[in-house]
Amino acid sequence: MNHTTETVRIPAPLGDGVASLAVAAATWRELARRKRLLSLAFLLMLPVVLLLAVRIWYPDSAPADVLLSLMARYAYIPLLVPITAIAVGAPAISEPIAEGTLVYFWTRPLRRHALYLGRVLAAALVGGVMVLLSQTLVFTVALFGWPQAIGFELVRLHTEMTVVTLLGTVVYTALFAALGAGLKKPMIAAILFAFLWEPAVVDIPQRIQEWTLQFHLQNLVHWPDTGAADLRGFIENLLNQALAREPVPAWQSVLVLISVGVVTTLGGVLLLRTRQLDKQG
Amino acid sequence: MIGQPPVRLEAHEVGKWFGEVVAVGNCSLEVGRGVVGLLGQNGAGKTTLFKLLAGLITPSRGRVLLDGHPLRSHVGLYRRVGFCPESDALPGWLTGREFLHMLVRLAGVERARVRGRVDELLERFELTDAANRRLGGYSKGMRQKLKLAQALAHDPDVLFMDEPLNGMDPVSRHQAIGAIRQLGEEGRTVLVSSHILPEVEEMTRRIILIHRSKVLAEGDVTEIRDLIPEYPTVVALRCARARELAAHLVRQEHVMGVECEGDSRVIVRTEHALAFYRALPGWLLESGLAVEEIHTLDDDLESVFTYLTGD
Repeated sequence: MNHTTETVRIPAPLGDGVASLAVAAATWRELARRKRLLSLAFLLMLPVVLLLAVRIWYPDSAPADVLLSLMARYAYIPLLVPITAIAVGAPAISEPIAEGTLVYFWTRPLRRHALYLGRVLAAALVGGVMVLLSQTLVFTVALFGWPQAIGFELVRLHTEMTVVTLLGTVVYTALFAALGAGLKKPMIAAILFAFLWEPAVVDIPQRIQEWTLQFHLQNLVHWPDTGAADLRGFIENLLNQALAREPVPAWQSVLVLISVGVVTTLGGVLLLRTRQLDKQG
Repeated sequence: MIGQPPVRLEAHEVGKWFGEVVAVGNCSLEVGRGVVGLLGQNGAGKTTLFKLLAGLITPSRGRVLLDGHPLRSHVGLYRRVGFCPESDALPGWLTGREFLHMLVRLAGVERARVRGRVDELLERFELTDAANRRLGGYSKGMRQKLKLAQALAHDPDVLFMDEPLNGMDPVSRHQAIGAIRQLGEEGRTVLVSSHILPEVEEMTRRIILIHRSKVLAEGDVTEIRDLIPEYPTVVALRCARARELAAHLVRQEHVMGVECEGDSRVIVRTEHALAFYRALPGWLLESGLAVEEIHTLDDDLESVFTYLTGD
């Protein structure tokens, strides 16, 4: 056999931007058509229905800003955001590996990180749009009976909460996608993280609570300015006493969340780069 | 392909093991232009070797090179590679058109040409009517066609086809065999893995035979057949004067045995078929006998496979 070592010029891989966007566009279509998205949509409608019920049967119970704040802190951040990220993030990388369709991407001239980023981008977008639609409906319903509440402060509060929950969706999605690059059953690991580790640790004082995403997301949610005597002040005091939270500066929480997103994405890319296609397909 | 440099796919002492299980052990081979069949029984290491050559897994030892570069670490080389996997798995939530569109784009085809190329492929593989249906509803034969279409999407120089005819109806199968042969004739490197020997035989005479994790033979079927001394090649000759021909041939070099079947058929056993074929015209001229038909009875792929593997 002639073992010649003469080399030929290597063709350039596809540009990362082009590759990521093409992967993201197809992944978006793929994720958006999954049946599990219907279940997720149903779940994300629950706070809307709940608020609607409150507004119909107890129209004077709470002002819009308090309701929005409560929803963000106790419905979206600890429950709906992680669930959304589990539904779209965990399968983003693991599903094509398990199904055997990754081979079609693997045998194209695109770098592994472009493939990874494209799929995670699409997952975060699908999740983000779902959460955004739900929050917009919640905002609309919260205003029923309180038209006087519309003002700069309320819009600012809503925008802030939307940004925080979207940031949460992106970070959780990045984390769960990375789990999918390394584990065969990332969904289980993601559920354990979101609903065992986080609730168990988030209320432990002495900075241990800072080892959760939930803590930092809730730390970023601004409470409406209230007097201690009224209902809003009462709820705020009650919850703060019950949960023993020790707030940290907002910049610190933002830094932690962004770092988690970046580090898990880099980790996921590394895992995917070393991955071998053992499964036929 | 005219004007393009030939593709050189090489494996140098490649081995792959999973724990203590050796899937492929110390294989060296070189594949050039044309169609080459990669053959082996289930569990022989065929699929692992195929994945190693296509850069889908890294070897535990040795190197796999495409044009002198490891395919796995130079993904740009996939611009020249088409891959048709064995598995039927397709992203079921996409339509045929969307799937092809994505893969044609990812193969590096310019945005402006993608739509036209997708239409061409759908037409060529008779999938135009099903183009807007989701892949989850595609039949096995349609999936197979789509897999072939995506492998050819960017007009690659080298093609890996793992069991490409699985699930196809006879007409499509016939067309696909013709198409694969044509790809080889155009100067592309086409590596076809299959366990259906007659199908491979219709595509090519060049094979790589893998058995018990090792490459057992590599090259033209007839040449390989000639190198199996334990089983002399059996050649049938049709001749009006069969007995005279038999008497003449039995004295010749390379002829191990001769027998007559009826009045017009002579069966010759030769240890060296190629040398026999080279010498035969001279012997016929010398004897003044005319042969109407020559047919080798056991240099087909199935015989070679059986003789080499002992199964």
